[in-house]
Amino acid sequence: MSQQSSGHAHHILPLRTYLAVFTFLIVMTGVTVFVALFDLGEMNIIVAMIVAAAKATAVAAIFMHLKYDNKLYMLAFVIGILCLAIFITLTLVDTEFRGNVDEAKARPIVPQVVLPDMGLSHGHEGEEGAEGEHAAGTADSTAATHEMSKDSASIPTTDSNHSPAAESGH
Amino acid sequence: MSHAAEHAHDHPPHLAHHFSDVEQQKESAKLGMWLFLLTEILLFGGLFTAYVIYRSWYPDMFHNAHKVLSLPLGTTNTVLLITSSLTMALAIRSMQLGKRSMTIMNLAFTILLAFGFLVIKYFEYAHKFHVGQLPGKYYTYTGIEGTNPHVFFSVYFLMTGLHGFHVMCGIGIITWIMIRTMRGQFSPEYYTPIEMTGLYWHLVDLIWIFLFPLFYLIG
Repeated sequence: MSQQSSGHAHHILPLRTYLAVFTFLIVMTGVTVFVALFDLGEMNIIVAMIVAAAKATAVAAIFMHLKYDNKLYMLAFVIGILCLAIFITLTLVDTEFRGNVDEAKARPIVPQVVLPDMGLSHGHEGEEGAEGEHAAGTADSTAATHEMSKDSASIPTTDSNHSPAAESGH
Repeated sequence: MSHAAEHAHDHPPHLAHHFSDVEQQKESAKLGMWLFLLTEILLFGGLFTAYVIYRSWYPDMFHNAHKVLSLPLGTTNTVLLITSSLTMALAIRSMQLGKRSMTIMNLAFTILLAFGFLVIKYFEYAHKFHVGQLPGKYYTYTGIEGTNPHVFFSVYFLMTGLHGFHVMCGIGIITWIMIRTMRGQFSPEYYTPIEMTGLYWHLVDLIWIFLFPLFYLIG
């Protein structure tokens, strides 16, 4: 036991600290639900993400002990989040501006095919794979991606609430 | 006998021989666990990226689609997971203080809360299956305005499904740790496995902290 360095091994947080963080998390949950009940336009998602980030910081710093541990772990965690931020940002830089070059490529997901007996008629374009999210094997999804631009012609880049008929260029 | 006593003093049974001391062993375990958590963050990160893109393409549809999710159930699930994070943290703290039965109780509560989360998720999923709000090409529901509503449910099921799978694995791991605690394998000097399990479980909570507003609180 003489090898036991003091470090975090013997740093036991008081119960009060855990309960305070718990209360903070519950309160912030209430706040975020409450704010979501109002229409604040763009601010809704921003407020929601700020609250989520605050809760995440509390969990990571206190519950996961990052605040009290070797700074290396916090560094690893922050670098991971940074990589994720770069990933999302650069991807958005691509997808958000596709319509600027080629209008047809702005919204490559073809409107969903709904089973025929539901009364909606869009043929089978929707089967050709929407960014790989369909469960069934769609071996021709690569070819379909090139074809889809024909179906999704003339889609404005801002408003997405078009009727499916207009979306598929019928 | 004296050799064994000395050995036990300088070299506790829980210290693996390839580590120089207990502290180094603990730091190694922690770093390893954090690196694993990073891979988990990026795993879900890829899915979050998909969500961001689809939502940027179909903001109105996402808004309409989220209304079919149950806000009370989602909020309850959030509270359950936050509480389970608390009980998990308290379980570690209990073992730091050498209180074995308290540790077991806290771990048991964590498992119970996790089960509660899964039960609620079951009811949510069952309802969606019933009305045809299914992912991708299986989508048959007609009550949502906007283009490509199947996209919302593809992302919803994939992300909450993967998260739910992580909850299930967490239940298994915590149960195993609880059994090991009952067997007396941990002490204030050695509780690293409980701590590592705690880190994993807090990450599962962290992911839900982001999933909840992204699906249930689309303003």
